[in-house]
Order: sequence, then C-alpha cells, then structure tokens
Amino acid sequence: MKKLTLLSAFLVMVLPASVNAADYRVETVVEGLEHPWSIAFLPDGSRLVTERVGRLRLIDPQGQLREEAIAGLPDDIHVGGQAGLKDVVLAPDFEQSAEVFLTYACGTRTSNHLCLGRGELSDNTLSNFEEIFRTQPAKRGSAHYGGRMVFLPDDTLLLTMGDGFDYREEAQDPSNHLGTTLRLDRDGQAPADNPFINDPNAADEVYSYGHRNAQGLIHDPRTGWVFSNEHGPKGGDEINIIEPGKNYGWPVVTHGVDYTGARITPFTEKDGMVSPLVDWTPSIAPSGLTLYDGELFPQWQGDLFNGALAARKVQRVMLEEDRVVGEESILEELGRRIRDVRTGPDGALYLLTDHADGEVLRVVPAN
Amino acid sequence: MKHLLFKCLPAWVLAVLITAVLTSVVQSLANLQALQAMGVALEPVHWVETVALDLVGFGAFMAVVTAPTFLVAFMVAAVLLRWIPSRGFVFAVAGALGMLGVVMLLDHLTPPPTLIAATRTWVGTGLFMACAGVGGLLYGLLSRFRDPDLIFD
Repeated sequence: MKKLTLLSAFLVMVLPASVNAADYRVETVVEGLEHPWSIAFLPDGSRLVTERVGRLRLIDPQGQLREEAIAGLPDDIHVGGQAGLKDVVLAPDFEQSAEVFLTYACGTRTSNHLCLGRGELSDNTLSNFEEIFRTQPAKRGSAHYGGRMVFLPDDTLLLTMGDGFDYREEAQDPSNHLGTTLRLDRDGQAPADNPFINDPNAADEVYSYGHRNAQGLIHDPRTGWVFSNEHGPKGGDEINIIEPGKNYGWPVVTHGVDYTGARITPFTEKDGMVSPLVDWTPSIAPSGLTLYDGELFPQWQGDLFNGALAARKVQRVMLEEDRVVGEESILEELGRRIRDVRTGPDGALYLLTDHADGEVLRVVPAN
Repeated sequence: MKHLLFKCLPAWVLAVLITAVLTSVVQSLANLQALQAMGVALEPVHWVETVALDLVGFGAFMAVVTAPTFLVAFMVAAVLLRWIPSRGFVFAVAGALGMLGVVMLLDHLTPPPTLIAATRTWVGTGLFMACAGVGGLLYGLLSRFRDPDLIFD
C-alpha cells in the first residue's frame, strides 16, 4: 500500500441517505498502470490486470506489481483509441487448467475485430495462447468493441461486442456480431442451445442484440440473472437484464442523441424491444459492473456498483428483485475515471482508474 | 472597408445559417431513413418533429462548425477570384471543399471514427458538401459589389 486516503466520516452525518456508502476509506494497491482495463483475482491472492496498451500485469499477494509484463500475449493486438487489450477472466476450473481468457482488439485501424483468446498461466507467462474467436465482420475505426466477459454456471462464456460506432444499424441485424452479447463454449464455438442456433438469419453465437457498447457484464449466482451496462450516445446509458434471444433496441430506441445533438430516433421504447432497468441521461459513461456480495460492507450486499468514466464516480444501484429502489453516487471525491469495479475475494471493492498513470484502488470500511 | 463590413458580414452570416439549416435537414433525413431501412414505421409527425428538433440541436452545432470554416474558405476564395472570375462558382466550391475539410478534421480530432452520422457514407458527405456549396454560392452572390480598391469584386 503506497498511499492511504481517508474519506471524511462527516458525510455520514451530513447525508443520511449516504450513511452506508460514506463510511469507507480508499487504499492504493498499485499505481503506474497505463490505462488499466480489467482485473482478475487468482486463488493464491495474486491479481491479473490488463492494460489497454496491450500488457497483462501480475500483482503478487503482497501487493507488489511485477515489473515485467506477462509474456505470451498475441502479437496482433490493435492498440489505439478505444482499441487494445480489454478483459481478463479466469476459467472456472483455473486451479486445475490454469486457463486465462483475454479479449482484445485485433487487426488494423482500417480492418479490425474483437478477438477472444486463451492461454495457460504459469511463471509470469501465458503459454499455448490461441485465438479461439473473432467477431465478424471486420470494422473500420478504433471504437466500440464491448469486450467484457463472464462465465455462466454451465461453463459457457458470455462476451459483449460493441456496434463499432459507425455501424450502429448493424446492431439490429443478428446475422452479424456487431452490437450483441455472444455466448460461446470454452473452445469459442456456439453452444447447441444458443437462442438463434436454428435461425438462418442470425449468427449462431448471438445471445442478445440491439446493444451499443456494453462494457459491464455480470452473472448473479443467486438469481441466475445476467446484468449488463452499456454506453448510450449523448444520454441513454443503460443497465439491462440480459435474456437469450432478446432485442435491446439500439439504435431504434434510446434516450440519447448523437454527440452532435442530432436525434437518432423518435422512440424511447417499442414493442418487442427490452427497456432498460436503469437509464442515465445525461450520460455517466458506464464501465465495469459488479454485484457486491462481500462481507466487509453488509449494507451493500445485493447492490450493483457501476463504474463511471465521464462522471468520475461509482454509481451504486440498489435492487429489490429486478426493481431499482434507489441510487447513490459514491467515490466522486477521487475525481478519477473509473474503468472497472469488482468485488474482491476479501470483500473489498476494487477499482481501476482509467488514466495514463492508472491505479488499482481498494475500498474498505473506514474502521 | 465599410462596404466589406456591410456586404460581406451579412452574407457570411446568412450563408452559415442556410448551410446549418440544410445540413440539419439532411442529417434528420439520413437518420430517419436509416430507421426505415431497419423496418421501423414512421408517422409524418416523426419526420416533422425530428427535423424541427434537429434544427435546434444539430443546426446550432453545424452553425458553430460552419462559421469558421466559411471564414477561412471564403478568404481563400476571394484570393482565387484574381484568376478565376466566376464568383458564384468559386465561393460555392470553396464552401463545399471547406465542409469536406472540416468533416475530415472533426473525424480526426474527436474520438468517434465519424462524428457526424450522415457523413458515414460518401453520399451523405456529398450532400453536406452540396449544402455548403449552396451557402457558398449565396455568399458569392450577396457579397458582390463594385469597388475598384477591393479585391473582392
């Protein structure tokens, strides 16, 4: 721990509604990371962190960042703009298989994809790394890759893919991968029970479609629900509950407008299209997402914590079943772009800050 | 110089406004047409409402973008008038090329690959250039005056 930041407990008195959230402190676990994007917790207490610039780093159980990046990553990672190395997820049987899954932009600026690959982690090296899936079609420009992953209990993997920005209308066409949630097995193949597997007009891998750029994705083991957040344009950021075969509407329905102020659509809802659980207008630019299930903050259990890039905070969303009963902004005092939020195995809330001197932060109770 | 102010400034303002209005309508139609292409049924009210809202939102954005663009483009055009006497043609081309330039510049400077949705295609970009060409032509015609001391004649 290089830095310790105590946050004022007086907020507890000043803002009674924030009592539960204000009583924390933030510790810096590691700093000096270049645009960290995702974190995974290893069984031995180590942590893996991706840097968007194409590096995978190891933090040992004592909190020391290993200087050399992990070797063995693919050499065709496309870095630039929003492109680069994205998510890192451990296989559910990691202790036996040592398998690590990575998402990354691959290709060139004028022709690129989101790629999914896996390798075996040992001694600061990913060995036998192989690309197992590549989204189609190729797109131009380095924006809107999605790239977030989560394993489901049946050992299949959900993966978000953005609309590529210039290709937003493709999000309504499930015959391609743009603007979708994809479901794959561990070899990168479409499982036989995928929702569109027998539909000749849809890609076998598509699980849901009509998304813009989903960068938060979690599975709630208690209910089986899959939560995903996605960036809206100017306004219209969302959290959705993802169900197989459903259309989430983009760009036919949205609460946002183009960055230029142009109206994208007259519709904010439509039959046959799922409305969001949460809509944020103006935008907060949602990033990583976690469902808090740790022991350190009992009052937070069962709530969603959503990182915000533009709004530089974490948004707590309080749930009762599939209904939102309250929201609260926390950690605004950091003034940092939050790229990822995770519940650590120790019950702390872990944050990644999206800066050239990015950090891993750990949020724990003040006392 | 007084002539320059009284003739050129109103003509420039009008050219900017006309271009902003025309490009805004093109942008509205492009987005609505894209919805129709996805099978979305649109009522007349959707068209009217969208065009009207875009005039306020997107039109203002385009006015801000077009104003400095035309300033530079028309200054260059005024110099070119020494060699190319067709005033309307020169200012129309200057406006169109200025629009192309600023669209490319915005795409280069801003994070999205293509900032203005309608310019994702060459047809849309061409229509934006045509709108700016109309603005340029209008400027060329309205700012015409005869003063032997000025190169703008």
